[in-house]
Amino acid sequence: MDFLLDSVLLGMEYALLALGVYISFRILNLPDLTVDGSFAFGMAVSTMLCAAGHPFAALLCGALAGALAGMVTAFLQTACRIHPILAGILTMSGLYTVNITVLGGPNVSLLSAKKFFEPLGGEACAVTLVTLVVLLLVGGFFQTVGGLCIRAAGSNEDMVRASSINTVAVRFAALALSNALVALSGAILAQCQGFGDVSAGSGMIVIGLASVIIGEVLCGRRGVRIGLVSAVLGSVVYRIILALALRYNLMSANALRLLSAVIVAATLALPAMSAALRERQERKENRAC
Amino acid sequence: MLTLKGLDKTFQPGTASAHHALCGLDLTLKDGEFVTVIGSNGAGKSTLFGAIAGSFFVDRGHILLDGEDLTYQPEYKRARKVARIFQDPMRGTAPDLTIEENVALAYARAGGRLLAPALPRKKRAFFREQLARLDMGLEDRMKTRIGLLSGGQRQAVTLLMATINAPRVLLLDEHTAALDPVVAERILQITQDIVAENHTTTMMVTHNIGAALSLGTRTIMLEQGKIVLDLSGRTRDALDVPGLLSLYRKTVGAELDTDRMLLTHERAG
Repeated sequence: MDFLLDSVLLGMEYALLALGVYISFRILNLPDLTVDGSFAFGMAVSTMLCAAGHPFAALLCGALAGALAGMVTAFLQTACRIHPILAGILTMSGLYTVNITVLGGPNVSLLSAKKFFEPLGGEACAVTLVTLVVLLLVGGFFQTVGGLCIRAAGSNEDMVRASSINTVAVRFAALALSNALVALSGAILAQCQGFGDVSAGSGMIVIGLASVIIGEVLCGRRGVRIGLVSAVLGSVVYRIILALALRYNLMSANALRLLSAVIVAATLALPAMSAALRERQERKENRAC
Repeated sequence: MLTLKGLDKTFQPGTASAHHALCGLDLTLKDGEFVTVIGSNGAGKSTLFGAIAGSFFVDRGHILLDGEDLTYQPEYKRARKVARIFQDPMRGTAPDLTIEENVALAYARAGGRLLAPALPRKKRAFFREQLARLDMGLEDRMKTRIGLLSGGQRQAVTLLMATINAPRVLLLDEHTAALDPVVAERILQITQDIVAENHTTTMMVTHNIGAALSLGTRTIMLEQGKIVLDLSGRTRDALDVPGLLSLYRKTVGAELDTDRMLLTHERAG
């Protein structure tokens, strides 16, 4: 059973990553590839501040670093009119250099440093607490006027453009929030695993998407509040699935990425596949009579 | 008072598809005036609305509203003063948000803090009251996603959203053309009620020439980016549809492209 509890904990550590991806992918309706870079950025900043003896400031600054990365992407998307996907890739790619500079090397150990969870009743308790607090804050935010603006922008951009909402400001706010959460996840993970690694961000977007999608499979797509909770749940279930698969030797650890990618692709393909299938069925029936 | 002075706009200048959509257009609207706008396809009606609403900046000319220069004000800043409704009923509302959230979003345009709750109890009661005025039973479905409503219902909510903060100018770009006749009639009625109540300066593009003459207080006709006819008062009252068509023929030297009139209920291509 221990391995299950461990994977639940790991799921909670990655939950804010899923939350951040949910905001860009589902609420803003714009897949954001900054994630890989901002996750490692949050991790790098957190690692250095934690090593310097400021574990709480490490989380805060990690999140702020992510917000900054999100704003760079937003700037590229709006002021520079670069395609949203490419803008994210550019930021992510550039961040690699930034991260390695922040860390001063490919990885830094935090073995002897004070961690944020030590005064908060242990790793599991502290991570759950942080995740729940952030979940409540974000859930509340999306019921405010500012939150509605972001949701409306993802739902009907034409409407928002013709309204008194500043679409550029909305893009900045949404990507900053999304990447702040992703980076906070990286910041938490750095302290929990006891080291910061510059390549930790690679593939995070797929893991985030897989979590969001697993959450939606479990809870359905019903409103923002349930959506946010389902992203957290999805992150936990994703880790449990992986742990089970690894434990019973269903696959090698190297196959994780491929499996995640296949899960995401298959789920995203589902609506198109079922529509094609239905149409084929209808054609068949039409011919029969 | 809305004053448009020498508005000029060319789309894609210097290319083979350059289109001179507005050619030195002048127009002054008194407060509370209700002007209907007619003209054949490509006459510049939607471009005129786009220029006033700020979808793009004009190449030359000035847009003044009560003395304030709007010419280079970005769209989202103008939107507090100038509301616009499009023909497509899907365009004015966010389908994934509930009815009350959509209305709350429009209401928040009046200003206020971004981190304030969007739907406190007091506001909810107010929105309910406003929705009840539409007489479509929407006040009992406030938690329904807008995407589940019919086109007519969505356009009614759009109208409510556009006017809830009493904008100074209301631009209606064939806002009933995509609806079935009964619903269109109802939306027009609501439009008239709201406009009369708020004393809003209103411009309405329509392809229904009968409605253009019967609604409002003034009718202008656009042709090739200019106003070619400006009718009000007794001249306008005395005019019927054939009269207007022949007047158009005399002024422009061509038939008014009336095919869309017969196809009022189809989407513009």
